[in-house]
Amino acid sequence: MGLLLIYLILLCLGIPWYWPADSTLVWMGFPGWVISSIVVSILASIVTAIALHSKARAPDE
Amino acid sequence: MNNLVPLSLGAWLFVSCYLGSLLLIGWIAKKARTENTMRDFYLAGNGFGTLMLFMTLFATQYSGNTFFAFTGATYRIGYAWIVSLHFMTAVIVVYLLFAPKLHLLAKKNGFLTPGDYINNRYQNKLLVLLVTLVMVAVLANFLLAQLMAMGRAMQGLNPESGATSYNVGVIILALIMLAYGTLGGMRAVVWTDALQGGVLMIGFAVLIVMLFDRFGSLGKATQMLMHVDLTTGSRKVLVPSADQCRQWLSYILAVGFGICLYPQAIQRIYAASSLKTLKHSMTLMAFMPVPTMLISLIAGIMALAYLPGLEGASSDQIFGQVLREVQLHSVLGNMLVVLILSAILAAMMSTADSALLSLSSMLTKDVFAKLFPQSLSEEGLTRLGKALSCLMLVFLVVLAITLKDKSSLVQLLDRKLDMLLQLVPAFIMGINWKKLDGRAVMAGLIVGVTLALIIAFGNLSFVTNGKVFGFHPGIIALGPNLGVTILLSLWFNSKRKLVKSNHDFSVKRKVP
Repeated sequence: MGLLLIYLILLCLGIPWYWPADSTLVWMGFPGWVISSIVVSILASIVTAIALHSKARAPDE
Repeated sequence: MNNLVPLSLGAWLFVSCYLGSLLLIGWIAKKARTENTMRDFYLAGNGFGTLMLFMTLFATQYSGNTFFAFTGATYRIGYAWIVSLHFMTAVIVVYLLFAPKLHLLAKKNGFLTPGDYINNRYQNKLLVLLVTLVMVAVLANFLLAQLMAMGRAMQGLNPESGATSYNVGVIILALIMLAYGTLGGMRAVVWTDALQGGVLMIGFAVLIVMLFDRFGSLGKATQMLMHVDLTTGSRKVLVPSADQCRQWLSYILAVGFGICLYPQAIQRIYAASSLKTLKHSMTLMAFMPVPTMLISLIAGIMALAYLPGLEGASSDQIFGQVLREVQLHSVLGNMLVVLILSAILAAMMSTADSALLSLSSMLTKDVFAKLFPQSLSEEGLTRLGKALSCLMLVFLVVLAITLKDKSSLVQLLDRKLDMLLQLVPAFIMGINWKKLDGRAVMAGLIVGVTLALIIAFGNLSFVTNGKVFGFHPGIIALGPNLGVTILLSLWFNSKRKLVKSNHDFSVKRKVP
């Protein structure tokens, strides 16, 4: 359940619905909302990698 | 790819040698065969190690035309196509829900096709047939799209010959694909996947550097597009609208759950040599969306800023224009483009070939072997699978040539993800919920597929651009599908409990 909650939070943060519609912030060549989206995606990748390796070890491992 | 500078004789020779090398890979893969069984042909025997599995999972998720299709999508909608990053990450998250358990089951029971799991889990032959039919329809659609893309790519390389290049291209590439696939089976496909994946990643990274060198920085392109947004009211750089945000959610769910249910993806889960290997490969895959998707996003944004003017369907040609700019920029650029084009063609063939292998394994094992059990030996079934590959390919090549001017019709009929999504209960729920009933899954699947097709083709007033309130038909149909599956499963379970308690009661009464 905890993992599901983390993914739900990441999903909510990944979609830029909360950014002001007229934001013109540009950082490292990307619009600010794109950077936040990329960061969330990297976080999702890290969480997935941890989840893959933290699950109970299977018999063949 | 209609805007390229015509290829020189040397470039054509290189493309031919590159594609010819696939035959060599097929031959080496045949030599590496350990036994003449279906398992060896379709799953490469005892399976793949981490690196090979990672490369083939990568090639399955990001097909050859992903790079230029996504560059075109970015060109059309701007930075909002960063959603591709999320839906590609979602695929790995969904794998997490079922792949490790499915792999262990596959190893224990010797699964070869997706139907094997369905048969083992539900012991319902009708459900196996239904799931196989949905998957065959999806794969035939997928294969047709790949063949047509291969034909269009060849037409783009030799525009003077027009339709002849398309027809000859489809036939020759299909023949090469059939030859190396039939020779080496899954092993040959995975080795070519690995080669093309590596060449494309490196090639595109160099391409981006060349684009920066040719046009200037990404920041400059973003500022230019921002100015256009602020003056014209477009939203190519500004924060996506509420409607676009809803579409993001639909894309993340549809692609996340859809792609990992492709039969060839499921067979790759079976083909891992161990659970450890599978987990390691998936960990690597979890980090691939950022570099891969950013490359096509940046290429699309640079094209949008510096090569504007293409609209609608013609915007798909933007990748050709980007390549043309690189070709004209330097000799190194020209060489890079020839290498990228060869790798894209080979990657398309490899993607199509893995679909063809999957298709033939399902037709052989889940349809023929179920209808005529014990009529053929293991070797005979493998031979039959190869013959079926040939027949299917001939049929689809004829279709690709017949429908070459009707690409909009093909696009309209393309409901791959909408149909695959209806298999979520059968695979993902089935592996995680022991009480799920096969009859309930079948009822839910019929409801889901019917509803998805009605929404897609029903010409309904509330459907806009093929979506309902920004959501794909498959996502909308998955709701009732899940509802029917869960409710019927609960009902069947309570009925079973009632029958069991009645039986226990009558046994107890008889005992004294």
